[in-house]
Amino acid sequence: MRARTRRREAAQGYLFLAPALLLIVAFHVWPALYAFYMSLFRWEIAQEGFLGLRNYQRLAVDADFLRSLLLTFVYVVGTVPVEMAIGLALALLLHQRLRLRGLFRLVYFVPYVTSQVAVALVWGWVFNSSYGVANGILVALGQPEQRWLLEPRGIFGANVPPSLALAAIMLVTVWFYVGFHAVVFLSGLTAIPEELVDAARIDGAAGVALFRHITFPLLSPTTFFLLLVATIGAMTSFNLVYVMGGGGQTFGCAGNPLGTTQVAALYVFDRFWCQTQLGYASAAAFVLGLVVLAITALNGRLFSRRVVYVG
Amino acid sequence: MSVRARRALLYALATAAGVVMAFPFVWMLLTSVKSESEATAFPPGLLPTQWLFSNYADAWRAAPFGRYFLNSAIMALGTIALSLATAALAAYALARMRVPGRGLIFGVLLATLVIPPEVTLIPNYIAMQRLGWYNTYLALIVPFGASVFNVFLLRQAFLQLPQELYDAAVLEGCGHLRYLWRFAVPLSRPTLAIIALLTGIRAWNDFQWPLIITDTADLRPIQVGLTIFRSDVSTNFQLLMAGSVMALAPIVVLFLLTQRQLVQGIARSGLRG
Repeated sequence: MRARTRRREAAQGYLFLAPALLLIVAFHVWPALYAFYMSLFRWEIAQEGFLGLRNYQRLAVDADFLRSLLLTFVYVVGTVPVEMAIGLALALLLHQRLRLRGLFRLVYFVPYVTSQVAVALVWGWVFNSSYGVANGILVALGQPEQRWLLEPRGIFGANVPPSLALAAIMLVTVWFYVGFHAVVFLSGLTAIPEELVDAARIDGAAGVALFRHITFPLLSPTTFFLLLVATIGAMTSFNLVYVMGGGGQTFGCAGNPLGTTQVAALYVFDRFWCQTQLGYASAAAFVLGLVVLAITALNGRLFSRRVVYVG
Repeated sequence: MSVRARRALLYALATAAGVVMAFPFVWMLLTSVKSESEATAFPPGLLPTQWLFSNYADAWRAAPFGRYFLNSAIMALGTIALSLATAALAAYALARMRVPGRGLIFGVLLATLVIPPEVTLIPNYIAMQRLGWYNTYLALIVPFGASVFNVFLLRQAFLQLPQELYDAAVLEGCGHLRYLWRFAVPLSRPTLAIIALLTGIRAWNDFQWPLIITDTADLRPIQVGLTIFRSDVSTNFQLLMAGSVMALAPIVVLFLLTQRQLVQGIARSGLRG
């Protein structure tokens, strides 16, 4: 009798799980495997001949693909630490029990809920090379105007990434995500037991020392978590680059100007959508997926040991 | 530094950061009511001499915005409904029922979180064509009808319901489905509301998937429509900014109305778009 009710409950449980599992397997798990399958074929509009790993061999010497990985690396390194540092600074500021704290938090956070397409159009207008307010500010300060999203020259040197165009997009990325980091850091700060901070204060810790030895270590689970999600997000970032690349006058498959904004997600989209090389694009997507996985694992190994958990 | 000076410095910093964060939105709003000649004056003036709110009517007429909004609303509401239903059932099974292999299922769900969207994009595009869903609402809604995040969040909420309530209900002969519908769901309303909001905002702002899966204006959601609008108005920046304001407004208003709960929900779940 008990065995039968248990069997019935199990059957009903699977029935409850079925709709969610079905959708997740059908549209998340299976496509990931199918992407690998597609990458083994010559596949343009329709499936053609079997290529084995030749798409991957081609990728290994494809200068555009390798550049896109380099640009992705530059993009991640130039955005994630910056947005985390500013986010943490803002969180510490908000944690000081300022009046109007709710209003400040709101203003910092708004970009995060807005559409990346619309804000990319707005920033494209700010950086417009003929009429943009960014150049207006430069002129008011007596500085030469810039071509911003149309400028392929590197900010550290003519051919050194990031180009001014990519740097401008990175700035927008930081602006977009800073509030998210601030809010998550703030909730991490609020979760630190006050007794610990008070005890450290009694022992004479204050200011920078208090932050370095008490607050920051106790915040490490939050920091670690943010590092993980921000890195994954930045490695696969698409919308901002697609809409702003090349000054936004033409749509950005090519990662204009001169390909200097073609990060990996954009490269995949270019080969898939603009050039209809579905098999080849799948191979590139699969490599990108593996790189994301590897970086996630590496982050875990490097930083998880330094994470301090309380309670 | 005196306490007073320190406070003043903190307020100055917080305000400066706020100005930088809000500036693009302010600039968008100001441009959206300028005349064409003022919008393209250089160096630009801050305030318009004449506030042309008619730009909004012009923008509205220049593209099928009404249709775009309707499509985005259908996409958002459809995704919310499907996502809440699938998440409630699955979360309940994971929280309350003895299902063999529960740990394994949990692990598989967790693993899907590291699959980047670029990898699934192309096969899903092919799947939509094979299913005959290309350029339909089904393609805009169904593939995102189950979210692992939502399942986890809701499971957490269900686990926090008192065991005594469940025991009493079972004693009265209440089955799982009935308990879920009559007790678990109503008692988890705050979590459900956050899930609905986050899912809706995500759907409203989604761009890459609708871009490749819609082909005609009568199916295009607002974000895709906005990029087409940009190509159409090209140098009429005041109209483009008016269109951007319209695309942002519903979410920003919704956010202002619900920000306390929403910000807490995001802080806890750590969603990142």
